[in-house]
Amino acid sequence: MTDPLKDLLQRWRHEPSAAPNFNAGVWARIDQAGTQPAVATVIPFRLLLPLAASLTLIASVAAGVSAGLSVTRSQTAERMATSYARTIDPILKASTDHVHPQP
Amino acid sequence: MKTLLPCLLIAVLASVTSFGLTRWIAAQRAPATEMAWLRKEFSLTAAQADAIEKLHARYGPVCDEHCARVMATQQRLAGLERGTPAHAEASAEMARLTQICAESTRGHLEAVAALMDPRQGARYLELIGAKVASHTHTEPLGLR
Repeated sequence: MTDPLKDLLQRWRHEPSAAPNFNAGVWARIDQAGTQPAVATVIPFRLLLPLAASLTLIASVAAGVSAGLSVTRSQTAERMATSYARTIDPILKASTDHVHPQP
Repeated sequence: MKTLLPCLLIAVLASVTSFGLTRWIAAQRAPATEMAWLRKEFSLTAAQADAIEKLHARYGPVCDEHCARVMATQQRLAGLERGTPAHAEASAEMARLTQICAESTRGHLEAVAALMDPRQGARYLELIGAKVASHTHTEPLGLR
């Protein structure tokens, strides 16, 4: 005795209908991919290293200039504030004149 | 890795060089006088700078007179023996003079600050007040 399910499976055939506009859809996607460049082609790989090096150099110079300005500004402010305080404070003035007598 | 090390070295060198050059250029362009510094540091207008200069000119002789009295008392103190009534008297005179000078300086600083923009005036009192208060052992000006 044969299994009826097995016979049924052997006789079963599936014939799917063609998807509408399948062919046109595939070509449309191919065309679209051709017009949108990938990220790697915006910045060619061979330029990535020089670009990174240049950016590092610019950042280093900017950091140096910024630190130089900041240090000089604070040192100037400290020096000038002390010097200015001596011109308006008799006690400071007296101690300075005492240490460095005026001619 | 072969290119990374030279790149980093060049970056460090560029940073150090730009730091040094900036310091040198900034030092060349630093204000020459206290008044020029004051004008720049506290963003004074021409009118404010003019008024402050006049205030300083008026205060100058007062400051000089106080300075002369302090120096004379200091010299007197130096010539006196500790523990003697004369030394005690000179010490008391010195304390009195210090108090007078501190009040006079405080008054001048507050008058100058009042001529500035309020925010700059507060910064002026904080910065200069700390310098003059450090020897009189009083609280910093403007922070009362």
